[in-house]
Amino acid sequence: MRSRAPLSAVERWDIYANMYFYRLRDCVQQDFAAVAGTIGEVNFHNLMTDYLLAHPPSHFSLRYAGQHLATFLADHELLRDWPYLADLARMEYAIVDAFDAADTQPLDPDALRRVPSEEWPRLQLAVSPAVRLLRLDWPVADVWRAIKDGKEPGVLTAGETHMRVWRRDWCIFHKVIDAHEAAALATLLNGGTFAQMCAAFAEDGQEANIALSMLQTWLAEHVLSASDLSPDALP
Amino acid sequence: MSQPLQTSASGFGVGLRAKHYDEVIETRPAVDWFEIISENFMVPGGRPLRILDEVRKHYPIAMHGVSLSIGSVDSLNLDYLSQLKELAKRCEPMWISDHLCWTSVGGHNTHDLLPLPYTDETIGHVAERVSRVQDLLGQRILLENVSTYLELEQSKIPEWEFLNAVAERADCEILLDVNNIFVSAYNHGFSARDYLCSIDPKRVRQFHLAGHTDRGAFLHDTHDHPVPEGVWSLYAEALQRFGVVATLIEWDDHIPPLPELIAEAEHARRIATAPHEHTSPDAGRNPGPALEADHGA
Repeated sequence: MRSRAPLSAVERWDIYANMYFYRLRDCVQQDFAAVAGTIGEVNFHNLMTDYLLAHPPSHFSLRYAGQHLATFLADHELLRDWPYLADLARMEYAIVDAFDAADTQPLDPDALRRVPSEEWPRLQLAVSPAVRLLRLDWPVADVWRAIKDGKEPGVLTAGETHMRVWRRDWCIFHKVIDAHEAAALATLLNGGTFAQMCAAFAEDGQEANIALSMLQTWLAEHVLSASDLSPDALP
Repeated sequence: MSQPLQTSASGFGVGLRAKHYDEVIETRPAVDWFEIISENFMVPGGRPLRILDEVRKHYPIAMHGVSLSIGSVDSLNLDYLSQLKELAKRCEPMWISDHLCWTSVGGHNTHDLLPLPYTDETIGHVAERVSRVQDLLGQRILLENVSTYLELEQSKIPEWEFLNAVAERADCEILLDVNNIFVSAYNHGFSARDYLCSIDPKRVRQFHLAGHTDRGAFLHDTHDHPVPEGVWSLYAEALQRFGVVATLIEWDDHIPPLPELIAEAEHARRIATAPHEHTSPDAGRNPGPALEADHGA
């Protein structure tokens, strides 16, 4: 590199070094506003320094710069003060994923009604590509909401939490769901049939009622995608 | 590439930014076209693509990328090029552009536009890659001159000769960023006018105009201010040499309300369409009289 007054070669290279860091910090901070808001500016700056050393970007799009942050936080010293931080990052990246997931048509309730009852056990329902199912150790939705509303997060109590993140009409939503819905969705995401989905949360013969209630909610919230429900398409 | 270079001007555009999506669709502002950052729309789905489809119904689009990394020694990213081509099929852009620089090495993306050594070897390297990219995309691309903050000792020729040579050898076109010339001229002590005088007019397809930040010891290409007077003046000189070339106002940070952005584009239009000698219909095809060199710039 050439030095040229008034800047030395090192000072000129520093311009690029600073641009690299601050561009990536700002981009990741946008996607993880709740993490950044929780730990504060100085901690986030230091976190980014550590993170970028461990995970320099490899994708051509800045959108993926933060894809490893949740994993990186899983055993980071910041957990001493904020034990839920990795879960919060997972929630935030699920929102990023849902935002630009592939488009599909939502499943039409009429299409489901036309399926003969004897075919229902074999039914494979397609879950929207924008759905993300999270199993968390902390109820981080409360922290996310507090930061978004400009408030201090309260003290959290650890506890297994299931969360669904999804997209409807270009908007992203999240909801804490119960273990039944989490098991049902997990089954469908793994390609399971309706019968397998019901078996996942067997509840004293109430599976059908619970399943129907879930389906109504999923249809209204565009959790399910249109797919071929004809008998020939069933396994 | 066997197609002839296109020389027709194509109006005045602004960047399509998320902050303005709804307003652009609702108000259909009086601008000739929009430029998108290609990578922002190289996604599986979601709102950005829906917005692009809607905007495209009413406006031409120029695709401007930042990750082609045409000067890198990494292999061309075929996955990236495939997605770039898919996006081009979707929005049928006026043209596709990226930067004459390198961005990635060893599989890592710096997400910055890093300077190349201006040598014969680099010219050959870049031209070969541009040719392959153009073959893959099925069309010529535009390469943009970047703002730089350092020069490499290996460089044997000035940047403008390098840009010309790459464009000639690769048979590609040029996106001439007037602000970047202004910034780099300041940072390296060369004449912006010399730069303008040396670029082959027949290959210039588009201008970028932008604002920058004066850091004292250097100018920083931040794209977060209005176009300053010095860049407008250089633009007026560029118009004299190249004619009325499609011009974009490039504003990427601290983005103003849409009317203010459009007003910048209108200012460019007023400068370009004011009665000057450069409005000759041949201005885009002939170099015309050379500007007097200003060695004091």
